[in-house]
Amino acid sequence: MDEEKVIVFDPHDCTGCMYCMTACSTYNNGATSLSKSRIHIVRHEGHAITKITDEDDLIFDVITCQQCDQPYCLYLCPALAVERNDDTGALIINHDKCVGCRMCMVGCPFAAILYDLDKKQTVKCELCGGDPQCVRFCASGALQFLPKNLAHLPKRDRLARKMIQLRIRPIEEKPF
Amino acid sequence: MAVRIEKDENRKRFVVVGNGIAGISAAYTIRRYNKEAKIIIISEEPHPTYSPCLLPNYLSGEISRERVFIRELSDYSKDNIQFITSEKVMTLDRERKSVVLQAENIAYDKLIIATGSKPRIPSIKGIHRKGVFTFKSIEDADIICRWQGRTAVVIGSGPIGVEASLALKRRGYQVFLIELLDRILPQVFDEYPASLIQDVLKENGIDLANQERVIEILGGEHVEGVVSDRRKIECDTVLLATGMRPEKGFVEGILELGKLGGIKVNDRMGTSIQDVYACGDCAEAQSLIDGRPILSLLWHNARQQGEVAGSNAAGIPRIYTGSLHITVVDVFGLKAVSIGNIGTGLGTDLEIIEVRRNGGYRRLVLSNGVLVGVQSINWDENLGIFLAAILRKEKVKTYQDLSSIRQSRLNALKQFPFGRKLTLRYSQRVK
Repeated sequence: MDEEKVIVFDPHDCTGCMYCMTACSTYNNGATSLSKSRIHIVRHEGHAITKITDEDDLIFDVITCQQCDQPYCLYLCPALAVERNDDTGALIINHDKCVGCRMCMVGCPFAAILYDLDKKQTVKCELCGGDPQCVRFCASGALQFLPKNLAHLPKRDRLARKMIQLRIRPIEEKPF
Repeated sequence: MAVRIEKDENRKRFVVVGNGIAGISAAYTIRRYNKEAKIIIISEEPHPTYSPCLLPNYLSGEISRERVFIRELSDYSKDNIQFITSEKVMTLDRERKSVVLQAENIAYDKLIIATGSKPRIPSIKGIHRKGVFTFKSIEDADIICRWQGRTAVVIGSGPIGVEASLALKRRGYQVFLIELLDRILPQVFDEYPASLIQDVLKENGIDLANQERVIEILGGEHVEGVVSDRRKIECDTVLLATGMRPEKGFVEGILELGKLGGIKVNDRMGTSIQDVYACGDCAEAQSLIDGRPILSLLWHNARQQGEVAGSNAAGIPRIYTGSLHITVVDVFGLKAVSIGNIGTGLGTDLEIIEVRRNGGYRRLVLSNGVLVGVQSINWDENLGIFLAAILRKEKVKTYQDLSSIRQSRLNALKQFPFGRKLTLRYSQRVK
């Protein structure tokens, strides 16, 4: 369990190329169809949480399963089809049990569960069995697959860098 | 000597009465926290645990009978849980801390009552005739599957009534659906969304009648027809879907009951007697929206209550936040979803926001500016955002407050901090 990894997303690096969506739908469906992708890139109207430059106005965000610790979908499923994979830590939908009632889809606060019209069942990100294809094909490095205990480091680096920028900024450049 | 006492402490006896989802989730929660404990599940039924929510799918023939079961008999012994089937608990001996079965007494340190609910049988003349069914247990479904009928009258149009009608229609029956109130699914949908569902039901050949009261079921030994206050219908099958009542059985007169007829519980699912917990359909917990007592006869509430009762019994305090209604009905491809309250019993300060898009319809119910419920027809993307907003008791002014992706994303992260802790990190751009 200490090797459990999570997908980490950096909106500042994302260029919105949708390679991840292409890779996901191709890997999981056998054919490329962006609407069937289990990861979705959406464009923000506003800016990111920590805005540094004006470029940050064009911000992309990712919608995919967060593999929550206390998932609501797991409670809602009347067939107990949502299970935790002990190896990867991913929540998976057991398609031998799923009856396609959409309860998990309705309950997901991240809107990360999709309904597959061909299978008549719901599908979600299952971390591709431990090798997420979205991360593998991410062109800009915005998506990373890091161990749980290291996932906080990029954010710490970012904050540290921002602090330095604030400290070394010359006084006359102050906007007010 | 000290060692022995410690060991006895670990070998506590937990007795769970009832083999529904609440009972087994309580039992498995105890097992997760306490590997040594002796756990006994007592069930009236001979089967392992099954999901009543899947019975309509079984009745319509979509899934096999095996798939209704979510546990096998061998699964219990794997987790070292003793499973006593086909035994009815007669009474509870609170002085000696034991439950009394027909042949034996079983002592407990902690008792969890999860006896579930039974269908409410209305007092209609001729209700005893052959061909009148209820639809709650797997036996009911088996009997209806074996029954050779052509025309069915379904009395009551709650979610069970509607799903049973759809299943019977798929089995080739001609179906009449009779509702006493002015609309279908009266507890979970308002007039307009209910009328949309009614239109689809009628288009697909289900004979639907509102504001109609069934007076008598005709026939000799077998059902031959139904008389209502408006008409006479010839039929050979009658299915009662007139609601559920909590099954209190052996605890009546021993435990304190609530106003609605369930076992009164506090927010840790404890009852009026120490070391006795109740969870699932038989318990009367508080509503998540307004905190009033509510009977929540739904799967996910039972499962959460079972976990809370189990972890409190095992000595790990946990608080139940409250019950919430979530109903999903698929009516011939029309996806109808209702989350939370439709606005009944919340006072007069209600506000409704209606949104229509691409043939889809959404209705948000606000009470004092706080989102308390949402109903959605044919538009089921991103509905979890509204669920998260209801859980957070969020103040909403316009629909766009919630539908903007960024806003909803942030809201969801606030509600589910675990998800945020694990995966969402905004990192530094490397220059």
